[in-house]
Amino acid sequence: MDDIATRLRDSLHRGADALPYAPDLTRSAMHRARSIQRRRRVSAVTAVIAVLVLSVPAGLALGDTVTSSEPPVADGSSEMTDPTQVTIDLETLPAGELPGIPYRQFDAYLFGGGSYDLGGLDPYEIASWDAGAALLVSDGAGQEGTLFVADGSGRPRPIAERVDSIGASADGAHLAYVSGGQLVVRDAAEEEQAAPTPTSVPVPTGAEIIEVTNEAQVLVSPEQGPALLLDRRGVESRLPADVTAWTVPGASFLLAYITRVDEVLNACSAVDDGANQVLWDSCDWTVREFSPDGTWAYAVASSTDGYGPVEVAVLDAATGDVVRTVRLAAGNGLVGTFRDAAWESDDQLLLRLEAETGAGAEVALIRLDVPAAEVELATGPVEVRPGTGDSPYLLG
Amino acid sequence: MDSIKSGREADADFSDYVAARQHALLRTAFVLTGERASAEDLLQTALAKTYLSWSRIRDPRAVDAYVRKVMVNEHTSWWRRAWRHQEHSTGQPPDGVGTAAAGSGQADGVGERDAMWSLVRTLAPRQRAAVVLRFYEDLSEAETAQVLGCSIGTVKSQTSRALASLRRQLSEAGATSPAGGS
Repeated sequence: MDDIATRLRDSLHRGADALPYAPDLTRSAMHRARSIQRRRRVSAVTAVIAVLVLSVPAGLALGDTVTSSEPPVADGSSEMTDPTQVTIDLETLPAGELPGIPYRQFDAYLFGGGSYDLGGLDPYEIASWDAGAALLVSDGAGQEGTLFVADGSGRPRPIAERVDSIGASADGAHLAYVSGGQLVVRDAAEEEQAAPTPTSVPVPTGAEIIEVTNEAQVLVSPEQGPALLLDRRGVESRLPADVTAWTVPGASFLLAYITRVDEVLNACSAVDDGANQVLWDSCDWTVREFSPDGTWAYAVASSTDGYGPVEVAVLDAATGDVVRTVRLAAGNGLVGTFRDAAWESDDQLLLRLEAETGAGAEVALIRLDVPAAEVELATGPVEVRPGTGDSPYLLG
Repeated sequence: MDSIKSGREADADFSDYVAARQHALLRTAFVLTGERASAEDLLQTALAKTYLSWSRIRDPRAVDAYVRKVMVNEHTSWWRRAWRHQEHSTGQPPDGVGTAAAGSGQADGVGERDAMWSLVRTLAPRQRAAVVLRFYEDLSEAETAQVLGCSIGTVKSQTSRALASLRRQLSEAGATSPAGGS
């Protein structure tokens, strides 16, 4: 142990030794416990009242009597189509379970079965697949990076350079990345072999991976021109330009893409491509990711100030109706920016929120339960330097 | 009657626990907060929350760990609340947690005589919690990670940053504090 640690230990013990005995805290602790219990009951009753008020049919005027034999009936479907604003108050946000999907927390990559040390790497993007965590680390020049794989067997090992986009399939079987004009697809099952044989096909410049399917098809969106759905033999289907999200719920699939309406306005359209039918358009919201079952769509405001969205929404994927909007509570001097999001389950969305003042910033992962319109803290908040892009958390 | 009896038994168990462990826990609260009044308040809050969860803590050996965890979380959340209520004009986080007098360290007779003790109070709450758990409570890195709810790597980095900060500050102050070196 070094000198500082020894002095620290001595100092802490010496300080504690100087503390005189305190009066018995049992009674005061019990008293405070009952006070906490009362507050919780009041909060619970208030919440129930709020739900009942929301459930009263609009035709009932104030003063109307609702007897116990005629309880107001909440219409679940209409409730879900009424947009509900959810505000996040970091001071009172209840703590929930840790994230159920892999994520990066400082120097560790955490997943259900344990954690991998990132070996000092500072990735800006992570994709999770069965062979470990794929980490895209900036090479300090341009927008390309080096791709590492961390699998817990030692330091993360580099597998590709000049990589500008990565993605993994939902079942964890395939990892795809774009490097030097080639789309490369690797199979987790082959990674344990001495010489895995990834397949690669040429893609247009600047192609960004939007989605990787369990069948190893990859949806890429080039800088210009229509999006391409590629299989590993290079067979492609052309899709509308600027695809932002895609999902395959069951036999059909949904697609969201941006089209230019006029000089300044873009519209996000959702298409049921299985039925070849445009479902809805929106000039207000741009879809980023559909929920796994295709019920909801996570979306950000189409017009932002360039610093990131301060409000995000969950839409009904089939109709485009806004069912939830989420933002940081006002009035505490904090500006909340949503940096990233990922679906944890069909109904639960994890949001990476950066709450910033001029002096500092905190980052937290917030869980939104869409049907319940409730938020809770999944992990954090932790302090970061504001405006640097550094984040202790990344969603894999 | 059973529920009343079991409730009374639970109260008696809780009282016994507090009587046996209060002083040790208060010492931990004190090194976390650096102020006696805040320490008593912190421990009282932690014990109140423990009392509410008493029936769910099945392993008596786990109670200390539970109280410690509540104290660390509560202390961090006090600090955050105090920070948010500041004007943020200086960019400096508040020292201490809340309304206790700034000079109460002096009243406790330890603050100004020990440079290291004063510097510990300048650490961010998670770093402070990490060093208190590691160097005062003598918890392992894994046990500390459990209390802080983070990975072992984070405990290592928080502890290392805290020690580096203390080393730097002592160096900047000339490391000449008479009591600092003990």
